[in-house]
Order: sequence, then C-alpha cells, then structure tokens
Amino acid sequence: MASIHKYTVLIVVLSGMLYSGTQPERPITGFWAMEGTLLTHIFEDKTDSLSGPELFELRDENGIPKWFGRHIFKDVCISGECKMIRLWLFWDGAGNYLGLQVPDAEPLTKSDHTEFEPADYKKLEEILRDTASVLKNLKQEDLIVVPDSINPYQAYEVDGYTAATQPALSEVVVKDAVYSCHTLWHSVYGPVQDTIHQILDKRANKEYLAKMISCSKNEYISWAIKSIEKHPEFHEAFYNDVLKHITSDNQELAKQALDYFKPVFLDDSNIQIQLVDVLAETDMSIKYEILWKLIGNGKANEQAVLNLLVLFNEQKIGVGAYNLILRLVTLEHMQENEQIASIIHNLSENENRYIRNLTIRLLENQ
Amino acid sequence: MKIVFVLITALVLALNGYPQSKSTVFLEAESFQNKGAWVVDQQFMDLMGSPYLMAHGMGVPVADAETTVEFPSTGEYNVFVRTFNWTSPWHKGEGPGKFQLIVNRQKAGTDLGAEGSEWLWQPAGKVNITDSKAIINLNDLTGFNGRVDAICFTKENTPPPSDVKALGKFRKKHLGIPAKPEKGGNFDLVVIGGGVAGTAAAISAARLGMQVALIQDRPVLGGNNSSEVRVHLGGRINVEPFPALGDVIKEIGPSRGGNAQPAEYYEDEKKMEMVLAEENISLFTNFRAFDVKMKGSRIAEVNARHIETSKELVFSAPLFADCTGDGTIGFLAGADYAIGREGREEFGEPTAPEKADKLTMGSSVQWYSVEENQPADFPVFNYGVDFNEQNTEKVTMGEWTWETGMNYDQINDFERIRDYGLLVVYSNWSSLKNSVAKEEYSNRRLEWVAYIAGKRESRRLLGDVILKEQDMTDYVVYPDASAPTTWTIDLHYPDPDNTKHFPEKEFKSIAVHKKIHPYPIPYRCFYSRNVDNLFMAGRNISVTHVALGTVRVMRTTGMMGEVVGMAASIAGKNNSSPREVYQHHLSELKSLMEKGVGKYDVENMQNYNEGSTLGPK
Repeated sequence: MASIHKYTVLIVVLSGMLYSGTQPERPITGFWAMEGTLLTHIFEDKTDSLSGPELFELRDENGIPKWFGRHIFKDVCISGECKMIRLWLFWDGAGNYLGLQVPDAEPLTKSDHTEFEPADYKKLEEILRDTASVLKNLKQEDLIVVPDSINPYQAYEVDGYTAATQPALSEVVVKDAVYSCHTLWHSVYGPVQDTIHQILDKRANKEYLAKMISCSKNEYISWAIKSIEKHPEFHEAFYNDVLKHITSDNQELAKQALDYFKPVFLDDSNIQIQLVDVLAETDMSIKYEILWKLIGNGKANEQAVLNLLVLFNEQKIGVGAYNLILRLVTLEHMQENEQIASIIHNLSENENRYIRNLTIRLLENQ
Repeated sequence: MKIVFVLITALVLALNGYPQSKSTVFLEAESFQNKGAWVVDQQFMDLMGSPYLMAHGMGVPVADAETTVEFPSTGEYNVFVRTFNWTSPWHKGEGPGKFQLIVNRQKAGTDLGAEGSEWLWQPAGKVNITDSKAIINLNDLTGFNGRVDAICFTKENTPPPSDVKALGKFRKKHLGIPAKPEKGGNFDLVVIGGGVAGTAAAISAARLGMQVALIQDRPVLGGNNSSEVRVHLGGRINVEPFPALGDVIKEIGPSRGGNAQPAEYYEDEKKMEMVLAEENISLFTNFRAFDVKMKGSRIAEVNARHIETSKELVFSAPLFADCTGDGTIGFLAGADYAIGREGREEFGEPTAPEKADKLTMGSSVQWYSVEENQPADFPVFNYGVDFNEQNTEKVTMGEWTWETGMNYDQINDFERIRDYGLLVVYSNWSSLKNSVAKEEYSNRRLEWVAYIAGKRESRRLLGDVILKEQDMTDYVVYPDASAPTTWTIDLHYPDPDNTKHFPEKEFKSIAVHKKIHPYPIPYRCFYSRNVDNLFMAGRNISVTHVALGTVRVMRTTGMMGEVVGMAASIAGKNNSSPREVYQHHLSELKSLMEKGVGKYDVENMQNYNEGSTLGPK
C-alpha cells in the first residue's frame, strides 16, 4: 500500500507539470464524502484532453476499490455549435458505471438552455446504466433527422433544437438532450472504463481475487469469476468459491457461476459431486442446467449419480427432471454400486407409472 | 396392447414379408430387416404410394441396408427398382442420389437413383437366383439422399405399374395384404397425429376416463417438437381465463429451448413415457392413417398402414380427432377446409391480401454444423442452384428462417418442397466448404440436417367459428372462449434479400409480427362444421390464414389438444357430438378447463420462447 502512495504522489506531481488546466474542484458530498484511501492514476485520453489525465480511486481498508472517479469537462458539439458540460463520473471496483455528480453551480442543460429536472437526471442515470443502450452503435450524425433541404452543419443547434431527434431514439433519451446523453454514454463506456479494466486486470492475483470473490457485492464477485476464467492458473484455488455462488439469490450471478464450469471441468469427479451437492439448494432453472451440464460431459461420476437419485427419492428434484437423471445412469453404475442398483430397482417398481416405465426402459436398454 | 404390437412387428420382420406369387417377388425397401443407416421416410406416401428408404448421409455414404428374401423358385429374374433423381426439378442431368443394388454380394445392373424426373421403375438388370433365399443389400454411393421405394424381382418382362393407384393394387396383391384391414380396436376416441396437439389431446381424454387410440406415423412423438424436426415450443401456458390449461404441456415439454439443437434437447423419451404411462391410451407408432369409412356425415372407421411392414389396421370409435397438421382425416372424410390466403373482402381482415391466393407459410429443413479438430471434407454439390461469393449464406446453422415452398402446394408438392430444402442446405454448404470460405470452414462438419420437414401451414378444417384477425385485435371474446393464443400474429414471407439472389427459388423467410393480447380461442374452432364427430387440434383448426399466424405455435396447439380431450370426454359421456358439447354442455367444458388435467407436480420449465404479447387484456 505504501508503495502505491509513493507512486501516486509522484504521478500527481508529474501530472501537475503536464496538465496546465485548473485542478477540478471536488464536491464535498456524495462519492467524495466517502471514507477511504485516495489514489490517483494518470492516463492519456486522446479523445478527451480537457477532462484531464487523472483517474481517482477510493479504496476501503481491505484495498478494495469503493469507486473510480473522473472529472469530465467536455464540449457537446455539432460542427461548431458547442456547449461545455462539467461533472464527475464514477465507476465501481469492477468497472461498472456507478453514478454521476454535477456541480451545484453548473447543472446540465438542454437544447433550449433550460436546466435538467430531477426526472431528467433519473432518466440519464437509467441510460448510463444500460450497457447495451441503442446509443452504443450510433454516431452523432445518426441522432437526429434533418430535412434534405437543410445543411446539417449549419441549420440546427446543439441537442437537436431545430431538427428532430430520431423517432426511434426519442423514447430512450432525455428529451432535448440527445447529444448530452450520447456524449456521456460514450464517456462512461469509453477509454476511462478500458483503463479501469486494465488497472483491475493487473491486480488479478490470488490475494486480491480472494478478497473480491468473498466480498458482499455481486458485481465484484462477478468480476472475480470473470478474472478466474481468464486466468486458469487460479481455478484450483477458487473453484470452490465459485461453486458457492451457484446458490446465490441473484439469478444472474448464480447463472454466471454455473456457466464458469465448462464441460472440461466436469471431468473432475469432485466438481460433479459438488455441483450435485449444491443442486438441492438452487433455483429450479439452475437445477436443470446442472443436469444438462452433467449430460453434456457424457460421463457422470458414480457418487454424483447416486446423490442425484437420492435427491430425487427425497423429492428435492421434481418428476419433470427424472428422465434427465436417467440419462446419466449407466450399466457400469448399476453393476458397481449396490446403492444405485437398489434405488433403480425400487424405482422400477414405483407406483407412479411414468417413473416406473422410464426406469424399466433404462434397464431394458442397458 | 403396446407389447402385442411390438411382437407382431417383430414377427413380420423376421419372416420378411408376405406370401409372394410364383414369378414375382415384391420387396418393400422400408421392410428391410436391417436398415443400416438408411432412414424410413413416410412423409409422401399419400402422394407416391409408399414409405421409402433414403440414404440421408449428408454427403457421407450411409451403411448398407440388408435383408434376406425368400424366392418361390430359382432361375433368372428381371430386377426393377422404384426410385428417381430427386434433384431433377432443378438440374438436368445425373442426380446425386446414387446407390447400388447388391444381390447375394453381386452388384445388380447399373448404378441407380440418378435418373428420372418422377418416381419410376428403373431396370437393374437380371439376376440368377440359385437358392430359395437371397441376401439383398442397398449400397449407398454418395450420402446424398438416394431413395428406394421397392424392388421387384420378376420372371416377367415388364416392370410393375407406375400409376400410383394401379401400383397400390399390385403391392397389395404381391405382398398378400388382406383386402380388409385387421382390427386395430374399438375406442372411445381415436386421435390421429402424435405431434404436441395430438399427444396432449390423447393424454387429456385418457385422464378423463376415455379409451383412446393415438396413431402416429413416426417412431417418436412430438411432431415439430421432436428430435426429428427440432423446433422448440412457443407461446405461453397457464394464463387466464383458464390457468390450468397447459398443465399437460408442462409435463411433456422439453426443459430447454432452441431450434436446430442436438437431438437430446427435445426429450423425446419424456413425451413417449408420459403417453405410455396412461393406461387408457393405446399407442400405435409408425402407423399412418390413409383412409376413412363414413356413415352418413360421421366417420365410422379410420384405416392406418404401418410405415415399415405395410400392415393395415382399422380403428373404430364414436369420436375422432384430426391432429395430423395437414387435416388429412378431415380431407378424407369430406370436411370443409381452406388453404392459402383469404381475400380481404372475405373476412375484412386488414392483413389479408386484396385477392385470395394460394400463398402459405413454408416448411423448414433445419440444420447445424460442428467444429472438428481436423479438416472435414464435403463433396462438391451443385445441382442447378448456383451459389457464389455474393449469395452464399456464411452461417454455421440454419433454423426456422430456412423455409421453402411458400408458392407451392404444401400437400401435393411436399416432396419437392422438402427436397429443395435439402438441396439448398447442401449447395450452400458445398459453396462454403469448397469455394467461398474454404479456410474459415475447413474444420466444420455438417452434423445434422432434418429430413422430416417442419411444416407450418396447409389445410385448415372449417368449424362453426372461423377465427379471424379482428377477433384478436378487437378482443372479441366468444362465450366458448377456451385455450389462449399468446404469440404474435406471426406470418412468414419470402425474404426480399433472398429473392434478389434466388428469384422464385427462395429458401429464406422473414417474419412479420403483429402483437395481440392473450386471446382465448373459441371452442367452436376445434370441430368440423360438416363431419359430425370430428374434432381438430393443431395447425389444422378453423382459422383464417392470418389467424393461423398466432395459433400455430406448439404450446398453443398443445392446449387446444387438452381442450379437445376434455370436450371428447363430455361428448363420450353424454353420447353427443362435438357441436352438442357447445350447445348443451358448455358449462361442463368450462368446469374441466378450470380444473385442468395435470397429473404430476412438475416444475414449470416452459419459460423459454414465450413470445411477445401486449399483456393481459
């Protein structure tokens, strides 16, 4: 930590020499009021030199980032017609958009120079959180409809004052602020975010990943799982932690944790057994996905099969999944494991005709 | 009942056929004892007279089919093989479906299957039979869908007749098929067609106490949702006004979605065992219905033929359900039906064309490829439809959008429609592999191409109500509101981009959607208006072409089946007709629809491909 401080201080001094603009004023509320250790990263953003080269990071006592922040001072322009916007953008410790802060004295404005209303900020927040926004693949010239007779470089003002916003966009942007929305979305998902990802990628060591995967924030856990995927050398150390997250209440995280286990990982019997162990505690769709993963691997471990059959007998897996469980049972399992043979035998006499028939068919086909 | 039929089939196959005449041995290809990797194709038997064997190897020759035949006498026989060049509509010249006939390990005649523009008896030389038994092999040479209907060994000089009707008589005579079919049984309800609608109808009726025969012309159930076609279920179940409808679909439906995926996705075994678990259902797989006997305006019997053994059975019942998709039973019984698009004036539908025409949605031959660790070759395949840098589809799989035959008759041109689907898949793949993307596709191998085409539309049997577009867009709810349709009005047209490259030979489609609120279909769409004891469920119900756009997805057709099963149980109990269920027993039907016919407490895994609706009205 100490070395980072030293490095940071040096960088700040250096930045003072390179960057001749005024140091951005830091708000005393919101993100900037949080406690932690502040670091400064310097990076070169050729697309936005006015905003300065500083990327701030606030860390908690464990060295985990609370946020990354950058001061944005940028012009929103269409061929000469410009206005400047000033604000702070923040990302979380996994590089996801976290929020923005606008100086009290310089609220965002629209094409008619009126100030953003609270509802407009709310809308803007929604837009900036949307990683798949329609703005992603649009250039500035795609944002408005210009009548053929008008020279688009002379006839309208910033944010589509005289020309209409593209009808398809009008629902998804802040009214009369289409250029601001576009500029800010691309600021959030542009070079700054790439830099944050690079900084975080460099930290992907065992100690750091251990902190990230065991923290309480789903986004950080998600980042950790992605990092472990990128660095197979950490698989052994962390796959147990990833397994635990399959039972997460957060569906997206649970799915990501399960998806981590590629077919090749299931060649490890322990992983098969542990997947079956967590299965009982998972949501229905995850349960089925675990079964499909085992089927996809093509060779189910004996203990895993036994555990599945026990779970089925205990009605912790529904009738609808029984045919999938049977796809995993082989003659070898039945010959080599008395418990499996016994359960299968009993199921072949089950009072439920569907279960009975499926089991008998399995025995006939072996 | 089921076990009995397995035994009969085995016995017939062991003896291989029926008594033959003294000078002629007639051998149905589909009855070969060992089919090797040839597949039985029954889809066109109503057109060309018989199921046939096909070498569907996707460019790799398939393993031989082999059988042993008893000859009434030794001596020299002329040999004729019924086959044809399936690419002939597009290519003048030798076709790709070449195979050889091998008799007692000796090739008979020339290569077969590469000539002729329609089914014909191709001479295969003479063979000298020296023993009472001979081993016959079909040896595929290309893997490109060579096909064999039958082989005739005769001491006469002329081949069997070519005319389908005359050939039918010839078959019966030489195979010794009894003039009168054997009894398949008397039932309370006979359901013809084991797709999702028919399967659900049979289960529903059986659970309500009816003795049901379910007749299906394939070895698996599920139709378009089976591993043979691989279309996933669509639409929503368990919605108002009868949330219990869909419980059967929940039980039989695959747990994951996806079109053109590996076979195991479609969970054929689940559908099969759910049916076999019903004691009241007698399942007749591999039987295709081909005739009906009428008593006045009622169907008295349905005749069905086994697609491998040619055995014929007759089924009788007071009630029948046409779940064939093509409305085959209704058609044979003289039921009123529509086909193609209605003109706008007929029903006032905004989406209908100004003038009526015969355009339908098409049929899909889906396919996919896999990446191998080493290069995988594919033969050059160019039979009349040219693929080049500009028009080759650079894809690794083809799902519903690979759709053919919109401008053709989906009944009478169906073999050509399916074959065109095969032709474009192979031609496009050949172009990728051998020409326009050689490097990129070097290690890709064609893993699966459907030979059972997924059909969307053909005959629509007409009921007391014909559902139309405005019923749904204006939300006109009828007193007999029943199974909900939730999918958009989703109509397919030839893809304009594809038309540019392949004018009048399109094989890609686009879908045009119109959103609707979930809408309960009137029960009166589920029975024929002029065949008094005929129910319908599936895509052949009483709707306009436009309305078909929404009702045709399989969770919806399955719920139609559930309702038909319920209505049949009421009709059976009251000795009444489907119409009288509406007239006199509608409240009973509503009670059943409220209660549902679910049996197992299964998780609802039917949350994929639910489609886009406007939400509840």
